[in-house]
Amino acid sequence: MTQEKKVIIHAKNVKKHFGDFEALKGISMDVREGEVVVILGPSGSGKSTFIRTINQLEKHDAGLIVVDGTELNDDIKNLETIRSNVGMVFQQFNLFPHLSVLKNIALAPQKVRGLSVDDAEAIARPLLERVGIPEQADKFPTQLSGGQQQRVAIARALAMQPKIMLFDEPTSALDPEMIKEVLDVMKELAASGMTMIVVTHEMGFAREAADKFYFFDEGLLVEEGTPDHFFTSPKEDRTKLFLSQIL
Amino acid sequence: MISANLFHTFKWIKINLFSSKLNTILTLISLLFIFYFLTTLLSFVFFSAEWKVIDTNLRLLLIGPFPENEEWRIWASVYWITALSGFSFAHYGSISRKILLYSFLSIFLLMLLIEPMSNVNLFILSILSIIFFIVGYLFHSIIKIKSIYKNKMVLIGWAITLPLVVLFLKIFGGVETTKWGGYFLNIMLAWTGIIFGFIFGLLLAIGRASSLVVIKYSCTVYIEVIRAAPLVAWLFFAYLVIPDLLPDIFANKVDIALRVVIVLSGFTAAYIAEIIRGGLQSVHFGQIEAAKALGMNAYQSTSLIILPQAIRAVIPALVSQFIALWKDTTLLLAAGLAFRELLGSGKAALSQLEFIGKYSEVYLFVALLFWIVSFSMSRFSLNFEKKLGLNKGD
Repeated sequence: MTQEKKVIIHAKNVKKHFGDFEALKGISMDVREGEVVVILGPSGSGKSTFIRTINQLEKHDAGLIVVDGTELNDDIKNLETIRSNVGMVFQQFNLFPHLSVLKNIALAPQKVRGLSVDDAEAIARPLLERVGIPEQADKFPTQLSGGQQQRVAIARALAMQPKIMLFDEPTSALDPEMIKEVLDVMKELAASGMTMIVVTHEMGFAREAADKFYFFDEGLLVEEGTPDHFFTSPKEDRTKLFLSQIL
Repeated sequence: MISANLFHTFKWIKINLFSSKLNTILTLISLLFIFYFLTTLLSFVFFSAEWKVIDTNLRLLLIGPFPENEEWRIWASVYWITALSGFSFAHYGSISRKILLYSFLSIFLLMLLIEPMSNVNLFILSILSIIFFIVGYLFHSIIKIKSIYKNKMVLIGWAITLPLVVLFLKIFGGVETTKWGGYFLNIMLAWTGIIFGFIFGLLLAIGRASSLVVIKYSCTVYIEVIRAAPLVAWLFFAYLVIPDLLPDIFANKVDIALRVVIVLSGFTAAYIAEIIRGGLQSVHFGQIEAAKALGMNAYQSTSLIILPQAIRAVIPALVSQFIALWKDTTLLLAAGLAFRELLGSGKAALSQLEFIGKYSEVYLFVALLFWIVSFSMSRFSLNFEKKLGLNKGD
């Protein structure tokens, strides 16, 4: 059924160099509206680099990326508008330490979308409820646990009402007992119909929430398929080796 | 209650001062020094010192050659500032009433000490400034508006203070800057120097971090050149060289005080730029990415995310720089400029036949006046840091 929805991210032969190092050697991927995509792969395989090209935190050197009907290239004037429609959650949370939790969430709607303080906070508070920590609104990020910080980071990205959410290893910096609370929020988000691209090693989450898996290795897309395909009958040797290491 | 308190005090003393033999010895030696220092100081202040030199020259020390019938200009400024301070204290409420009361009492005692009713006018005018403070304080609780608007009032109030003071000094004829002097001149120079130095320094720091090569290198060259010479040299430059560089029409029109302010702020700006650059480097790269990912443009991410964090990280260093500038205002004396700032006024007082040799009295008083402002700045920054959640102790 999701196959019928329109393609919201279209990537074709995307390449990226860092000096001599070829991080992406030509990645093609279509993501449809409402799809939850999990990208797997060993470190250095280019999976983070790839999702960072989608909101142009990294500029791609060659290939085509179309996000929600707009091609990303050097001529683009309203890069900020595109970015504000693509939420991103980072491995290190990257909350703004000088602002309270509520302000962290309300800042971008206020300054980028031009809402009033009251309107921005009216968006922020329900989001804090949604991620389960309404009582922490007036605290500062450093006063929260890692799991709570990452949930605030998710709420902050959602406050811009994005069409797409990118997750760059959202649980890798967390203590084991905090991973679940973040994954629960992400599962709820996936169930609500958000388009998500998630780089993660959390196979439990992936199996439960993902519509599609992509396996990257050395800058190449090695294998793609449904979760079932990956868990039961992966084709490529590299995929099998990787899955045997993390499962 | 009292006995419990006493018990805690004893316990504290035992733990912190007499916990070991070495600690006990150190405590006793320190106490001896403190005792010696305090008795010497107090016996000098209250018994052997002859404060007449301060009493007679108070006007000279505080405002220098400022014309007597124009003094209202200064008083108007003082009242505006004290009233605004009262309002701000009431608003932020972080200063306890006890501390306020103590400071009022000490100001009062100080006034009694240096002007035993010989100058009734000055006494009444000073008392009036305390009343203005209280008026400002009460005004805060009387007006019933949202806290955000009071916040705005405080910020705008302080923002317009300097222009307002300059207006008071210049309106209806005004007083030439060459007639400004004493403590008042130090305050004006440091104040303008700090404000413009900070703004200019901020721009330099951002410029130096810029990816535009021309801007980047101009800022770097400026910073390096300014820091290559001592402040006194730049003051000479302002005094002697700038008039020759300017076209003839301006040559004698650019106020000497203005030139001094330009040098002070330009000099401070170079140091502030480097301090802020350090702060900019301390901001994690992920912060910029997070701001970008939310759709902020370069201006928004710089002003809302990066600069607040960079400046927060370097408040102690910034305040040190401000305090250094405050004391550097005395270099006007060394540069041989025609101004009589506080230290210069002190020297002038000492050259009066009647008061020759009263070094201790004059310099102690001058030091006290400098200390008051320096200490206030350092306390203010500590309070500010605490407000930002940066500083847990003293």
